[in-house]
Amino acid sequence: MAIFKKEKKQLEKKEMDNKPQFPISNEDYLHKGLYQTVKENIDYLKIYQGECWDFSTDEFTLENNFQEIEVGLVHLAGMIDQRLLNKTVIDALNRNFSKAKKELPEGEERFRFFKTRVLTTTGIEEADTFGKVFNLLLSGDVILFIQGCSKCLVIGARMYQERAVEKPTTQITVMGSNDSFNENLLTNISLIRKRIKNPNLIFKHYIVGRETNTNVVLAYIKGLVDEGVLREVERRLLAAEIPEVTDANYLEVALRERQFSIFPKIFYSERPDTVANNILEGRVAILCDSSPEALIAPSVFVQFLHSTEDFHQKAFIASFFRILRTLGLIFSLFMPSVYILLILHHSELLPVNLLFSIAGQRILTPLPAYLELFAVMIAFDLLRESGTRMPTAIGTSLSFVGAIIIGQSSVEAGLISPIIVIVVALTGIGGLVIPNYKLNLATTIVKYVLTIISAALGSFGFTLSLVILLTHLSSLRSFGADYFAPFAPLSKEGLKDSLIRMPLEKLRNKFRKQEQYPH
Amino acid sequence: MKKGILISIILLFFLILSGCTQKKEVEDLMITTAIALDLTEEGSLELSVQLLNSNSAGNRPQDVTPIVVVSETGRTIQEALRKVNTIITKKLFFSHFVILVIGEELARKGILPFVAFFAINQETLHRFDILIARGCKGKDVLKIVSVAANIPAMAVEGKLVATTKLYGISKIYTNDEVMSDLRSEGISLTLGSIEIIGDLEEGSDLDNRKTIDVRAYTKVSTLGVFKQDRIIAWLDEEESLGFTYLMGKIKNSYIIVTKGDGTFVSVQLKTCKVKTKLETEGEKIKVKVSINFQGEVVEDLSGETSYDVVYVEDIRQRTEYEIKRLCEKVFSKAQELKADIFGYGRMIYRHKFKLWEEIKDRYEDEIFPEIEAEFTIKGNIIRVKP
Amino acid sequence: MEKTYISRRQLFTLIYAYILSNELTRGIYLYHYRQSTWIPVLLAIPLSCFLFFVYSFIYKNTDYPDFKTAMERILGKFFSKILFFIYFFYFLLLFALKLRDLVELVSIYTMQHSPFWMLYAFYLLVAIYCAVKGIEVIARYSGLVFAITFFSFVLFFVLLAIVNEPEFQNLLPFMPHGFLEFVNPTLRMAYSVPLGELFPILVIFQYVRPEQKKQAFKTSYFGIAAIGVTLLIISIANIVYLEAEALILGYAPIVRLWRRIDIEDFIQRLDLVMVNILLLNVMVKSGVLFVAVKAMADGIKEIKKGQIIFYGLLSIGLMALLLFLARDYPKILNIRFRILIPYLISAFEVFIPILVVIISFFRKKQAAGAEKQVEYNI
Repeated sequence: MAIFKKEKKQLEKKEMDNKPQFPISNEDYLHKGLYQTVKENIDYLKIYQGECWDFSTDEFTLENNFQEIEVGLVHLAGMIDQRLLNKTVIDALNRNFSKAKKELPEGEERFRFFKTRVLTTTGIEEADTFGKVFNLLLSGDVILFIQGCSKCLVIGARMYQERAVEKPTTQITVMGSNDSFNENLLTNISLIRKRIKNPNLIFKHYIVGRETNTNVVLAYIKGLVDEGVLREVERRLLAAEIPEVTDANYLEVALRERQFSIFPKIFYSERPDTVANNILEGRVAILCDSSPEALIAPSVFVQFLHSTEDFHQKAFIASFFRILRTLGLIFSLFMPSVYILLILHHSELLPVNLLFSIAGQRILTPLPAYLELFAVMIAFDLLRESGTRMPTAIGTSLSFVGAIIIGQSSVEAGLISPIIVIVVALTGIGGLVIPNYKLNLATTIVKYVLTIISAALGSFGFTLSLVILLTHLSSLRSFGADYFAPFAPLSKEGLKDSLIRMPLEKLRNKFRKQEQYPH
Repeated sequence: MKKGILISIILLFFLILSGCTQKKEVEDLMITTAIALDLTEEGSLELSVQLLNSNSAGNRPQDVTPIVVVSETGRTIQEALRKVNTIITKKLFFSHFVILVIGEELARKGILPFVAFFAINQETLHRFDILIARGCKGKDVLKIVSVAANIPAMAVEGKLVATTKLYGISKIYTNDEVMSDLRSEGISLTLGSIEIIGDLEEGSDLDNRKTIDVRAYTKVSTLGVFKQDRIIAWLDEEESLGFTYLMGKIKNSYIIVTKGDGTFVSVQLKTCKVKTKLETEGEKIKVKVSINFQGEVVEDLSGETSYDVVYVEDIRQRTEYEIKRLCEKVFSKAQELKADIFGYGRMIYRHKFKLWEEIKDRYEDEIFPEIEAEFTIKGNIIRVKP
Repeated sequence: MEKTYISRRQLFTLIYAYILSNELTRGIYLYHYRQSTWIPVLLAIPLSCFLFFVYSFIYKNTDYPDFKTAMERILGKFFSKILFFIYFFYFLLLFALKLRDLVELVSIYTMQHSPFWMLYAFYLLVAIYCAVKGIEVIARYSGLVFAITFFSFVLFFVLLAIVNEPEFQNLLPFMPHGFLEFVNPTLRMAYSVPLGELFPILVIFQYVRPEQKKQAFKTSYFGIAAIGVTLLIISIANIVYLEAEALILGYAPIVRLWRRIDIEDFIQRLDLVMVNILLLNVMVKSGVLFVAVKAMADGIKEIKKGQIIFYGLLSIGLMALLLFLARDYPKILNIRFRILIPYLISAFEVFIPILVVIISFFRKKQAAGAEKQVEYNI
């Protein structure tokens, strides 16, 4: 028995030596030069992607009066425009090749003839390493191999199936434009370009992600942007070796600050006008292919409370609504803990009649106050999560039913007191007023923490955790800018556009940097 | 991430701890709305508390009485309070009590320690009204139910506020001011009083709230004069009114004036400004009080309504005379009682300190009865209605 | 450690929050002075400003370096190490006193049944967190606290005025026994309560941005004046609204003042909110004192790593001290009044710094003389 095992091992080892190893590291094909013959090139590509169903190759021979040249077309079906390929590429190849005036020697001349005379479409590139070939092939371009040339032609014929430009899902405004980014990077770039026709607007391209090779673009206005921030963003993007970037949020992992914090330090938006406004204020926008969200760095806390709608209304009205939103934030953070403080520890603060009524309600309920509050809070968050995940057909009716069942019936059954439902509902509504979803999530967690501490330690604990919260917020930095900027280092300029919105005349410095970069 | 896990574990720990540390659940509190102190026959203290029964509130109230009055005796307030705990199920909660009723006999012995106890206590509100129970025991006052308010203590407080603002024979005093008056030199305390009209038995019956003809109720009565911290006498209605005038606390009161032909005219005083000045020559002290009022004629029983200057002038003079009469009456009563309820002694302390240093031991008994008072009353009748 | 800087505005709010925390114990010293308690506060403002002016020479005469270098230039390495050593313990003593006062107030008003060790433990945890973050974060936090405190003061005063009538008569008699009786308490107050204990501020001063240092002194005078005026207004409001007799019914009369607010039976008992606001301010003082303690320790031997362990050990020591020696609050007040304030605190706050300043003048002359000599030799 042992003999057979040994033989088997040797056999396996031999086989393994010949085959290329999977998963492949980038080094293998990245710098490998192309072969001279079409067949070898295509065979090499077939080693990797040959088994894929959408990998299509066409090898044919072009004839003219002087010679016959083999060419090979490789593309991924489904990512290209078939008609374009047929009409302009294959047609052009056949027709224009016969117009050759002389025999083309192998090498550069042949290549140039093909590039300039034969193919008549725009956007033709060259590639001379398999790394580049793979990148472009997998992005949806058509590769043309020519016999005798060590470079190949890349024809752009991409046609993605993508979502149309629709309304944003989470950041909707009443007035103003309502287009949002979709998953196509070029479309997104065009949406920003439409709004800023400035020659200084730069979209710098990077390829990020070891396994995914995703296209990432940094958008900024040269001259307005702070060089330090730009360098830092670049550094972090390239330094973090992320294997996969399937969405902008993975990029966020790379761009993240070192300091642990719940609060989101990179602003995201799916609205082009918000991104355009931020770029005009001197920030850097990071757009990622196949992600409808743009990340914006650096970001400060008050940004998460702003909405573009504020600039569509008059200053006074906009200020009122901003204050309302801040009130919503305060409600969502503090309401359950204040309720617990009032009920458990400091009943003196309530007027007599209210106290009397609450006491009467609470006599009949079985749970102690903090457990009751906790149960209802968790139930509410469950409802909210389920509402976002469910298909719309079931979604609305089920959450409605859920609210009625959990809320009303529990009160009727005597399980919870009605005032808890009011408190938790107000908290939830306050949270939903926050325009940015990430901040909403962060405040939910902080809310839970505060509630637990208030229940256990009373107002002393509440104030101490308030100290920790404020200190933590004051110490956060986002790409060098102070996170709590208009408040923490109190700056009068910054305050003009924070909780209230002064008229645009007074925001003279609006289109310059608002944050202070100490270094 | 590690930090996050650590913090989460600590917080979970807290959640469990929430049950251990001090906790005052709302339903575990027995809300006290009124406290009464009386003197028992043996000479010890009887403490009664009016408690709110939470079972009768909320969204599914049970059909029980909303208030309960419980009494216990003890040698000190603290002892009586602890004993009360043997009778009631929950913990006493003082933060909302609004009236403190002290029985008349106890008031004759001295109220300072009791007021001080409740004033210093950190749980109590700043303002609770202190009333003397007149003609009845303190705890009986607590037992009378009221038709208007669910909580009788609030009803009593409402009566007190309304009386002070509209009738002027009583006054609202924060407990800081009471303490201050008790401990300052040169002023004697005055406190409002409350009495029961009707039968006690019927008054404490819950059915009293269901009848149209209210058979028993509490009534706010006139002021009582203290010396040191013992009550010595009661002022009658005219004297209480005069006192309120002199102190400048009239907000919206009225005066009845007798016209020449004997009919009555009601004059409502809109504003009443009082200025007091002291003049001293050695130890001879003279107080000059000038009162400036503005009034409206609201009712004339003879049916006469006229805007005639003669008529208005006549009413004005009579009003001035009437106010002066009231002031003089209360002043002489105070001098007779040898209790400076107006605070003129305190004024001497503030403005003429050196003089005060000399006379302060003799002030109450010798100097005050010799003070001359001069009242100058001036005013206008600004309107004659209807 | 990176260089941390605080700006002038942040210095202002730091001073404001720092001195406001002394409000906790003002009630204790009121007993004798009833209606005239505002006069010592008024007198203390220029005295404290003058004292700080004297302090400023420590920096001015040594060309604005950081604190350790300044001391070394004035006193030489050996004596400055001794100075750091004794001030290390002095700052810890200040911290312990303030913590004890705060815990006393909190346990009377809000957490009546909690054991003291728990209150100490949580407070110290948070103080360690703030100190580890550094003075810059504490300064920013003090800005936020200043905004909250200021806003709530304004709100409370408005509410107070709505409900109650001020009786200005309560301020009389004005200095019935003459001026001299105020000299002693004012001096005591000037270097203890309410506007005293300014030496840690001097230590913090080294972190001010270099280009702003000269003007920062003016800002600190302004800060002292601002908080002095605030405390003055509060004292006067106490007397005017509460009357002198009622003032002495508690440790912190400001808390009793807010209890007066009672609007429609709905907004009431705001004194609990005030206790919490005071807690926010005391945290600033604790943070500043911890940083000053670390600066002193750095003066003796540089501590690069392990800040948390350093503060942790200090906290455990403080907790042990407070639990075993400081149970009896009236005894502490007594010791403070009779021994600590007249002798210890005056020594550390007034005499030693004045001595250092005088020496700094001599050194400056020496250095100038040495330069002149060098010039002549050439």
